[in-house]
Amino acid sequence: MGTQNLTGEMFAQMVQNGAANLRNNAQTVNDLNVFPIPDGDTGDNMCRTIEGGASVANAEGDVPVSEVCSKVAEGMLLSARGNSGVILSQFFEGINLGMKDFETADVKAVAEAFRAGVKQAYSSVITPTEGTILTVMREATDVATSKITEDSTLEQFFKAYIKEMYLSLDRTPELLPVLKEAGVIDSGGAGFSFIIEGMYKALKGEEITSDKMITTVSAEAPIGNFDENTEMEFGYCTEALVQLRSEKTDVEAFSVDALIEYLESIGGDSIVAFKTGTKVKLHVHTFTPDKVLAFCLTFGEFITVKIENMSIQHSETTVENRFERKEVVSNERKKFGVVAVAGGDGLKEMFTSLGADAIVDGQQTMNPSSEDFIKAFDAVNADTIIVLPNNSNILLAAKQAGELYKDSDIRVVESTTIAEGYAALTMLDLTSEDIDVIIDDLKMAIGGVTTGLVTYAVRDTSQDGFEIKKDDWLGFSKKTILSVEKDKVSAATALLDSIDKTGKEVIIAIAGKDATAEELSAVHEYASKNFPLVEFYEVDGGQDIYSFIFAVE
Amino acid sequence: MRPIKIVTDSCSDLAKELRDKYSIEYVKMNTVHNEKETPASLDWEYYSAKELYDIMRGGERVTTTQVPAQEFTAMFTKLVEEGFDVIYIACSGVLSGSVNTGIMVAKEICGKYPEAKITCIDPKMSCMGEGFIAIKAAELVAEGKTFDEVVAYIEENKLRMNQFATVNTLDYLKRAGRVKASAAFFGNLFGVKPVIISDINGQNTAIKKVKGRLASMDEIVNLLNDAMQGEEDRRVFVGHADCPQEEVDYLVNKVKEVIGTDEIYINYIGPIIGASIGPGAVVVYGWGKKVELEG
Repeated sequence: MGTQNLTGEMFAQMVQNGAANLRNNAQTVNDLNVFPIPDGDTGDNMCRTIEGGASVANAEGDVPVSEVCSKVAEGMLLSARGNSGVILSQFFEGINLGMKDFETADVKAVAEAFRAGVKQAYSSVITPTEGTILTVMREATDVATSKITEDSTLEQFFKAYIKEMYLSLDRTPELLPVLKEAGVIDSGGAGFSFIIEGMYKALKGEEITSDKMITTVSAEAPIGNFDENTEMEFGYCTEALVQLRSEKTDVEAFSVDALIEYLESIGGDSIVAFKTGTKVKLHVHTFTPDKVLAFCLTFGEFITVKIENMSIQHSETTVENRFERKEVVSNERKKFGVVAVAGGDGLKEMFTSLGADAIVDGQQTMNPSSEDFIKAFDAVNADTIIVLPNNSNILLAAKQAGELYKDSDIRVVESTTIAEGYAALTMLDLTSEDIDVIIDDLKMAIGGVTTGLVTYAVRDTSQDGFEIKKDDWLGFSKKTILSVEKDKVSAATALLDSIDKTGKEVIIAIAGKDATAEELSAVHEYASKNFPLVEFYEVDGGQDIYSFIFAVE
Repeated sequence: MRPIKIVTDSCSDLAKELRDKYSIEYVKMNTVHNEKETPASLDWEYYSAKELYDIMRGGERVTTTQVPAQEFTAMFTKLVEEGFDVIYIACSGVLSGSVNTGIMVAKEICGKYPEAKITCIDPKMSCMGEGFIAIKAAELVAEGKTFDEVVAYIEENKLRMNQFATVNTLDYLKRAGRVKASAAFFGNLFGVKPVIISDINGQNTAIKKVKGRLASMDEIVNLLNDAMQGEEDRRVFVGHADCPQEEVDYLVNKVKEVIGTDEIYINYIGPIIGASIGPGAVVVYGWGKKVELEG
């Protein structure tokens, strides 16, 4: 006996089980990092992505499978982070398209939907790379589909799927040389496998529990530095997901404008409110969250509410508030706006001072979701918005957000490092008012930059002709290791030596959180002495992971 | 017909050699440092160029004052009494009030000496561009052109003088209030160099960003070359505010190579322009297409 038809309720359970299984194994996936440095985040990114779907997949009773698929897909599109996350969200979007109009789905329909998922996933990247999550989902889908017979059950389909999935995953190093060299299998494919595995277990009735909560950013609750005498300085960061209700309002016609107006009237700031489907997401900083809640109840019911006192460990809440507006309320629509991704206070300030209108918080291992971008787009309020993702793993989420966003012309400039984004922004000149000219100038600025990065090794390995020991300091550029040293400064100076400086006139050194002023000036001194014709500028970036980011241009 | 004398001011950055050659006089503005006013000598009589720029490098401010009325009175009276008519080529009127003071004084002197003619021209230009225009006027005088012909020619052609400058930092110009820069030039620019032209109003206007010093020098030469297409006068003026010799050499070689001219006149940017533009500035000037940009 087995399952012949997939119901909405079952699919919801499967997605939740898949999410839970990945959550339990996210670190394993993070560790499958091609580079021996501490920036692996595929597991976390995929986990946050599928959780965006799992959190809304709570079907009970006779909900059509198509409806659950649609909710899951919508949730995941918004929460997609990192390239693997975006591909994953597109896979589920494809399933959603394939399941359209199905009350329940038989094996054939499920297989067709998976095929649609693969197709959609492939179409989400301009040049699909084999040996990645794409290959794993495609090969598993092809083989499992080919084995379907008249009386196949869903269990049989998934069993075949999983068998081929793991074989395919094991083959990824053969297809992608960087994996082979690093001695790892593809992390995105691995994350995908954990999800499918979890889904299969739900089908068999095994519920996976997870005590690791990854969705809440502050896993450790802020320690109470707020007592009877603490000044109430910052108000409450108030976030809510509200289900619009037909008995309270005209759900179709409901617009968040009145809500925003009300929030402004009670002195709220950092306001973000938007409607997706029949739900409203809301974020506001206010001293009177009670008023916010009461107002929301006039048009809907809460799905979730989160209220945090921002006077407690104020720095923690800036993580929650994943974008910042330059000006608190500037409702005037501009012609052009700039959204840049940056992590670390220094970097954020740097991008803001150069004219970025909104910063999307994105640490190296904390990629922003499409939804984070959408909030930033709302805050910027411009006809054309230039986006600098500043990380190759954030490009797709930024582009996906651009496609979902209809109120502005979103132009994603493919800056793949902080250094590139920074260089681009220093050359930004809007005076021509011709967006194609402006974008070409930015691309040209990016083309003239070589990025150098300095961080430490997290494991022993040999790569690019270097024998690397754990905790060695590495300097690298364009994914090639150029220096391996026992100390940070030597790794930095040796890296600068190795970077081709023909035609380069400027080095901008962005110092990370762990780089001291002495280390920075030691590098500065070395550069001034050895490259006298190159201008050297110091920036306190405060970023994680990379002790130094060099923009050589 | 009375002979004509061309007069300019401390902004013209014409060294003695050229002033003598073209028989050009100049009226002095003043620099002010630590509340002490010093005449702005183009021959660096009171302090050296290096001294001035080092004071600014040290973060101290040097300000400037326009040509005092009595300086005009003395100069115009002397020349008129010697039998000259006078054409004063001033510093751009949006950068200095000198041209207005000159007009005021000229009216007074002409009242006293009805046979004399004094005309004050706002060339919408400063620095060596102003000096270059003064030289042109002196050449026309030497060719035997009449007073009115010279004035008409300069008025007609002054916007054909092209300026392309670049600086290491816009801070000096911004502090002196002598540049128009769009939002593109705010914030710390880290290695980004602006290209500054003199627009149709004679205002210094930052028009373009270039990354890197050498690239910015290449760019001003290329832009001047474009502007000089079809121009017969191949002379190029190169000015610098106490730049390293290698940079000056680089710029001059670039001018030779790109514009293909050997008629290059090199000089320090003088005390008045220097106090506004700051150390490290370089500028090139040449006759060519009419400036059309309004910043």
